[in-house]
Order: sequence, then structure tokens, then C-alpha cells
Amino acid sequence: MLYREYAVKNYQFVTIQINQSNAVNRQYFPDLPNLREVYTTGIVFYNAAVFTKDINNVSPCTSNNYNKCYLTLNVDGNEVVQNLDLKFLMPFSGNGTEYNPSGYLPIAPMKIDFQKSYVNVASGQNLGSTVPFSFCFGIYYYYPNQIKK
Amino acid sequence: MIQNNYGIKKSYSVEIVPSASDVALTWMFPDVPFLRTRPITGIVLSTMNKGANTGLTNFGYSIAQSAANSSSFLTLADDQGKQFIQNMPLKELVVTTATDNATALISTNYFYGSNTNSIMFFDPRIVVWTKCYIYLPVATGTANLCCQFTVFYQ
Repeated sequence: MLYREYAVKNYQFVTIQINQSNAVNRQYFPDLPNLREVYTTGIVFYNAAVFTKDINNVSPCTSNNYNKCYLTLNVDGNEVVQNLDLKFLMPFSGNGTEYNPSGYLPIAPMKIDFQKSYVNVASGQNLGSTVPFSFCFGIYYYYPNQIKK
Repeated sequence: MIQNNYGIKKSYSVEIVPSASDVALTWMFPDVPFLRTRPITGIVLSTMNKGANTGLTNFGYSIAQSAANSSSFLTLADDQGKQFIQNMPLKELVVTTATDNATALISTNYFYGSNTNSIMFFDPRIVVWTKCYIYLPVATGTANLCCQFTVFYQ
């Protein structure tokens, strides 16, 4: 159910790949040069129920992992979104009991510093028994020179 | 919550028919002369389960018909040279049905959009189709596939 206030202007698929089962609790986004100067308007989080392989041929995150993960977004040195349950960003879940009816998380347009943004794993939890896997995100954004409608 | 108010105006069917290859990882769009100068405003994908189950060329079933074929990503480039859609999962573009929106609200593996019939609406762009493609991290292993899109334009 995609209630979109804005028509889509730009979209980029982003992954955080986890290669170690004993990975550290804080998993940062990679540098995303395309997104350094853009305004992000929405983020969707994809799990293994959506597709079986990401663009790097790596399995997406399953509920074993995302159930204990949180998202933090950094803007101008401030963690404007701090430890938001990843499920808020999901279009649906496999069992049909948890979902976000908007299909993605609309956010007020902001320049996100992805290098300082991360997925946080609950304290004491281990990330997954099967590696590698990836946290997959879809980023909706627009350039500063694109007029916001 | 403001519902999308981008209504459709005109539509055109665009298909990718990747020969009979079942090993290709990148499927390039053909040239679509009719749409060269027309800004597109939306796109939707028909699959075997949702929407028309074959392409106009009747060349076989569409992608995303099963979980094994679900991993596929769309990239669209505009006339400014920008990939304004970069690796969007094709499932974002799948047609919905009333069933999806009502009883089986979220039990399927497909996205849905009750207010837009799953049409992904874009800020109007002129798309350079020969620079657009679908990427599959794993080859389908199925020959004679066809990807049929309905493109809405101004």
C-alpha cells in the first residue's frame, strides 16, 4: 500500500553487507557518493521475504536478524533518527502480522550523512548464523535543484 | 496522509524479450522510439501472477513469477544521463489485486498499492530506454522469458 505524498523522483538501492557472524553491533552504511548532497524523502527496508538475493548475489536479512536491529540516521552531526525499529521501514513481513501500511517510511526531506548512519544490533545479540547476508534498503531522494512538489 | 494525486494520462507497453537466453544477468531494454520525447510518469510490471501473464509477444511468462525469480532490479536512466532509478526491486512495480488489499493484505510476496493500483509514479522524466536495464544477481535458468511493462507518459 504505497501512499506516496510525492511522486518518485530518484531511487537508489543500498546494502550493508555482513560477512562475520560475530560482527560488531554497529553496522555503518557504506559511503554513498550519489547521496551525499541529496534530500532523502523515504526509506524502505527489504528482507528475505521480498527477494532472495540482492544485487551482489547475497541473501537479504531474515527475521532472525532484523528483529533485533535498529536504525540510526545522522544529519549534520545529529542523530535525528535514533534507534528506530527496522520494522518501521518494512513494506510487510512474511507472517503478515507486522507491517507498515505506507510501504516505506516517509521522512521529512533531509541530507543524511550515511557514513555516520548505522544499523544497531541489540546489546548481547549475535548477528545471524548464516553469513554473508545484507541489510537492504531503498532510498527515495531528490536533488536540491529538483523542485519539491 | 495525502494520497497520490498523479492520475494517468496515456500508456504504452514496453517489453524486454531477452532472446532465448536463460543465463544473462543484464537485460537491456530495447529502443522505444515512441517514447523518446515523451516524459514518463509511471511504470508497472505485469507478471504471471499479477496482471497479464504473458507479454504482447506471447514469448513466455514474465519474471517474478516465483520466489526463485524474484530477485531482479530495475535501473532507469533519463536524458540528463542520470540513473534516477537505480536497482529498484521489480516487486515494487508489480500489479496489485483486490485480494491483496483486502483479505490477504500482506501474506503474499508482492507489493500492493490500494490507492495507485501499484503504479509507481515518477516525477515526469524523459527516459533513454537503451540505457535502461534489469539486473538479475542470479540467472533465471528459464528460457523464453518476457518482461512486460506498462509505461504511463504525458
